[in-house]
Amino acid sequence: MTTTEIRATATGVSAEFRDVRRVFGSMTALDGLTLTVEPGELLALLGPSGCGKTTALRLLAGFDRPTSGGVFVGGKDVSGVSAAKRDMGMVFQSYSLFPTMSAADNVAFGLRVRGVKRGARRAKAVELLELVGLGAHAQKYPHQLSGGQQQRVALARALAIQPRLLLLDEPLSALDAKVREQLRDEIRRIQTELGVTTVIVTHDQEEALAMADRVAVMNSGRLEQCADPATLYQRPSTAFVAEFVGTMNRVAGVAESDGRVRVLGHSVAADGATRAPGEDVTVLVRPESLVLNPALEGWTVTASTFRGANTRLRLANAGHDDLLADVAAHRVGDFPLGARASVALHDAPVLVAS
Amino acid sequence: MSSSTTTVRRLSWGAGARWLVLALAAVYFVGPLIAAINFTVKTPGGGVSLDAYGQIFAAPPTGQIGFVEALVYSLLLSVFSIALTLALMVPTQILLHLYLPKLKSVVEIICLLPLVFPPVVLVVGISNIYKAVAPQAGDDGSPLFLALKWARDTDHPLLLVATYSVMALPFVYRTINTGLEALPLATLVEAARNLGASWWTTITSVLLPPLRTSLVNAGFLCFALVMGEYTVASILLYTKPFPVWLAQLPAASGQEQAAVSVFSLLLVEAALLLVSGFGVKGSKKGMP
Ligand SMILES: Nc1ncnc2c1ncn2[C@@H]1O[C@H](COP(=O)(O)OP(=O)(O)O)[C@@H](O)[C@H]1O
Ligand SMILES: [Mg+2]
Repeated sequence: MTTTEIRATATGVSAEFRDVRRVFGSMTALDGLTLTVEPGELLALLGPSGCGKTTALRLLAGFDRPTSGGVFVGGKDVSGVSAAKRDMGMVFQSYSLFPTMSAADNVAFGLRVRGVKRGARRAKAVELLELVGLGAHAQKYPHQLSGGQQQRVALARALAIQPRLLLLDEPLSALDAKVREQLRDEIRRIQTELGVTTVIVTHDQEEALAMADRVAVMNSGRLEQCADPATLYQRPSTAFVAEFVGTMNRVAGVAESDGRVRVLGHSVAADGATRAPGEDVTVLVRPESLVLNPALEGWTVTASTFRGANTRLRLANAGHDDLLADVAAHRVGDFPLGARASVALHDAPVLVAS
Repeated sequence: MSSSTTTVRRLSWGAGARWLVLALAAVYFVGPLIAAINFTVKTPGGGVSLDAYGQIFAAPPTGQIGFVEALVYSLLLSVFSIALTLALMVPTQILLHLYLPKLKSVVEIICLLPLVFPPVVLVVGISNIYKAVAPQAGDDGSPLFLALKWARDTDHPLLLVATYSVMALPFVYRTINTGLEALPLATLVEAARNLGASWWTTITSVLLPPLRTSLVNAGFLCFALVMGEYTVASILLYTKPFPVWLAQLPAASGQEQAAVSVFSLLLVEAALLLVSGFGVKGSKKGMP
């Protein structure tokens, strides 16, 4: 089986949550989730721990049933279909390989269950192990493989059944940083190659932004915003999204007319709720949107964190909350600890938090 | 430096102690065996003879069944008891671990009860059940009575198998519980179901292989229990189980009785070694 063959049979289907609620006793894990996963895309479910990401994924896989609302795959309600009949490949957060089967047997398991002949499923298993870069480890047992290798085998095992949806529940969270980044790129490459509709759950915003076509940010069982990474980062629609994705300063400002606000002495366009002119507002501003210039008075540099391409400075000013501002490497020399600076804003829309 | 010296000294003392304990245990267990063997091969004149062992396979004088038949009877009893216990306990425990973890302690207590009540109590309970369903005058027996009567038959002693399964519960519960706790059960089941496996395939292909060592251990304990159980079998008037058969050999041939014991002990020992070798080999394959 070549990857083009897999692709031909696995072109993506859509998946949809329609007003899904899932209640565990007194705990509402999903509180009216409505979300569509487009055919062939990689969608990341992003949110803090406990916000309902895994619950949502398990509803897709068929391990759980919604309390109310519907789950649709390829336009069809799948509520009556058991997990074993859904043809979905899942990769779990914890290691889930069958301990007494070799890597190849693990990958071939789904095919064996489907009655594929021994020779054919062996060949497919080896092919998929090669796809995930483990061709040489086919005969090893799970305990002989590293964490990253085990998750690669789990990925190959999920892909072997040519799943309608590929579901990944924090597949990288148990791995160390280097392996995590490598495997992240590889999952993305394979997913693009096969074109299989994929949902990945993660609490790591960097991972979500790096991998996904679109990111759905969840909070307390609800969808906050679903958008492509750039939009999510640049035009977050809620304060929760803005502060969960990347870093934000909270700056005091005053509302003006025409949906603009005056902040740090500048008048800029504002997203979010419109306010009556003259009303006090809190505005969210990214550290890289602040422009620093050496000055004789104003803000004082109190801390500095080297971050490679830029340096993040902490600035204090009597009567204001501290600000974080990013300065390009070649300008860091202008702002040693204790230096004074004036702060201005790039002319991009800001978000009014409250 | 000083701490490492003490560690070394403690270690060497520990090794010495281990050997001492092992030697004492060896004397304790092997001593009687050697004495018994010695007794079976001695002749009145002071010579050595294997005659007593030759007698084992000879037809017993008092119309009793033969040695081989009694041994096979008990072996079959243990095989069926193991099968019944495992068939009951494996699905029950998987169910408990997966879906009813809160009931685990309740079931554990129930399974440990046979340790608290001596087998005699169990037998009394059984005979009371038989009495309770026994036919009244002019009555030829309820279906329940007939079923129980059938189960008591010495040709297919379901009653004995069921009783032994109950008596084995404490050991079997523990070993299977330990095995299951070492597995990421929920994840393995979901992974298998996700890949399209039926429940049957999930249990037989995914869960049982890693539990193999536990199952072999459980079987062991059950086997040892059945091969040595005398009380229940004799009170329920079974004569074929090996321990009962052995006790009923004519007292005159004390030497022969001892020879049978020694021989059967060695036979059972060999069987255990065979099974454990099998279990270890299997577990080496894929488990850490
Ligand atoms: N089987 C369950 N029983 C009870 N509560 C649950 C169960 N599964 C999840 N929850 C609760 O639902 C909420 C969401 O859980 P989950 O979907 O696992 O969050 P996430 O994956 O985003 O960290 C949590 O508060 C969790 O405690
Ligand atoms: Mg989770």
